[in-house]
Amino acid sequence: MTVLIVDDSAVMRKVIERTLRQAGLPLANVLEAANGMEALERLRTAGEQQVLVSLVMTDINMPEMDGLEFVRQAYSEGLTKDVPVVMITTEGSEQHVTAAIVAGARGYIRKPFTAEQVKVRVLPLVRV
Amino acid sequence: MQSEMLEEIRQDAIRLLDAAVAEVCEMMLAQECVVQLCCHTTFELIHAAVQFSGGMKGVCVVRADESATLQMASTMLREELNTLDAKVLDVLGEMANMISGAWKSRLTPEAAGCRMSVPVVTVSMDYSHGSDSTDSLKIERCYEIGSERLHVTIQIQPDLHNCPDLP
Repeated sequence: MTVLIVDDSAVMRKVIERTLRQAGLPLANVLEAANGMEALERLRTAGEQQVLVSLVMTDINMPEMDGLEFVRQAYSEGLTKDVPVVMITTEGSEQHVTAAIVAGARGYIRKPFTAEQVKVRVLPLVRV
Repeated sequence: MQSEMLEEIRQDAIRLLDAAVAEVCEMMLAQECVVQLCCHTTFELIHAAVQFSGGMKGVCVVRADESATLQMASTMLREELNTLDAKVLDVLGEMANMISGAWKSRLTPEAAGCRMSVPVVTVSMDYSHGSDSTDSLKIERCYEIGSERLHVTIQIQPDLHNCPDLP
């Protein structure tokens, strides 16, 4: 399966990928983006190349375009119509959770996180 | 009266910070942290700062020396790292990000709703953050993680005239 991981920290992208693998996701292809603009480009390119993205994991707090705006734009362009989007961020307040869901996210997980939390909150959203 | 209220808020902020740092260390580094009462901070070279804005204004600064930063980066990335490069500095930035977020999420809904900036990492012998405002609340904590030390400073402007920003 192909996953898109969006985070301005290269370290966190690596940690997220490792945690997804530990949680049991069979990742064959990992796309990465450092902000919302890059993430939109990755999804557009994947669509053009008919690559099926099975999951998007995105941070909220990023420069250039944040995760909420990315999710809104991706949703309005139909890029994430059948793709579960999970917000993964330090912003764990109720307002942020609500904003993420309104923007089009299907799930929400707060940093720091464990593989067990990914199993419970992310795996049920993914068609493996 | 105001100083008593400020001290009460300060003690709550410290308790919540200790819990936040412990959570981040345990989940990201698989290590326990021990609070160090003596908090002398003249040798810390690397500073990672996250600003709070909106419902609560302030800054959280995480500082560590080169050895501690390399140790944290090696543990988090599970590879041996010996050079202070962008990847290693990124780790301290993410530690600041997660500690700030974990602390903020423990506050009242009003305070927890404030926004956080992306972390800014600076390598410097002498770098100051925040302000010298007398009505601000400043807490400084030092934590021992394995054989290394991590310093955390939070400075906020509490609203003493309305509901307190902290529980």
